[in-house]
Amino acid sequence: MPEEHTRPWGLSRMTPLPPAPPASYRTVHLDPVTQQAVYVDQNGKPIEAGRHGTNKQTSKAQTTGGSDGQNPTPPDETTVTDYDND
Amino acid sequence: MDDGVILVLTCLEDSSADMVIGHLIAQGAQVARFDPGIEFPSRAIVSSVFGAGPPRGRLVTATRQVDLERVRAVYYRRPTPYPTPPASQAATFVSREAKFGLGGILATLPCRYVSHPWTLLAAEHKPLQLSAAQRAGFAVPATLMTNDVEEARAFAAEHGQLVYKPLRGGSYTGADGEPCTIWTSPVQLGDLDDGIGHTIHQFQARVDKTADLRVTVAGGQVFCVRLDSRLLDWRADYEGITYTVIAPPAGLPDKCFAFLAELGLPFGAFDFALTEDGPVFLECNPNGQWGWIEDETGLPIARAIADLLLEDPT
Repeated sequence: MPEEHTRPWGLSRMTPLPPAPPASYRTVHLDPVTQQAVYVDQNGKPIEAGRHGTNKQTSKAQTTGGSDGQNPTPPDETTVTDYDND
Repeated sequence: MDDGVILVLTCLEDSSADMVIGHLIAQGAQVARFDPGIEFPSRAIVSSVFGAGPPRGRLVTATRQVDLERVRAVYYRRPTPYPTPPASQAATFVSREAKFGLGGILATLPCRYVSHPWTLLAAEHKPLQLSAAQRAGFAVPATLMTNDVEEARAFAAEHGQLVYKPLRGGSYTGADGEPCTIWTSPVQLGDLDDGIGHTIHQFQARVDKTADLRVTVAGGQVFCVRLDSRLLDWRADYEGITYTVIAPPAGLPDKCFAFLAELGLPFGAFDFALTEDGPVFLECNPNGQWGWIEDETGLPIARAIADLLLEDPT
């Protein structure tokens, strides 16, 4: 059956996400002492906490072009609980 | 004296977890951070022994060694899901065993959870939320979940203005590969068609709101923020939101506490529509975002969550 005959109505409500802002950091790693993430900018310098823009509710799907994961924090509803029923 | 360890299960790029960890460290707590879906098994070792007496176990990450019986609290803050590989049988087996073995170990530590992963799973379901909200005393919009288009049409005829809202958020891909999502949006009677038959759809009577409320509850602390946005769904444009910290409407905190108590949650991020008759319950995000609210308003939410993790069990 062609997809248009089975396409659920809810998907007709889909809209594009706003464009992602430019990347604010290049890499991220774990500080072994503090157990906090350290964000490093394009010049290899650590970015001050709270200045790397990951606290906004933007979508990981916006970062499809790169692996740096800028703005990786998913919105509320994509909260992933590992235990899907199966 | 052994104060124990606070285990933070989260992904590397969850900056809200960083905020809480900062407060935990400042108060002298020992913290171990672990992202089981990413670090296990290649970068972490886990063993747990069951026999006479309580289980004993250890977790070794790249940067920490933790005796699991020393874990005093778990902050479960959006760890990466265990992988769902499409093809390889070996990878499927690895992931399934990890999810039910390691996941089970991490969910059965005899300590406080903020919040417990299995409790979160139940709480993510809108049918449970809507019925619990009613029992807690909230005003709840008339809601229909159905795959029957005639039922949807009758509901629209009865309630006039409707909105459609998916039962589970998430990202999709548009026709040209662009990332898409489904916000809450108004529905006209003429919009409804047989496509409704292809899965369950959630419709709600549209609430005539003057603003939105985001109410973040951590333990006994309630952080109430009014969001003014020109949109029906403020999530579609964060730049267009004005944030105002307000005192919670009378009676609201107790209803939030009752709701969270029924679901077994120590934390919740509630969304309400503010109307002339008071707040109307829209949803509760059991592991919802709050970091941006703290950034915008200065409300000490991270501190409240850290305090919750550090509280002595009673």
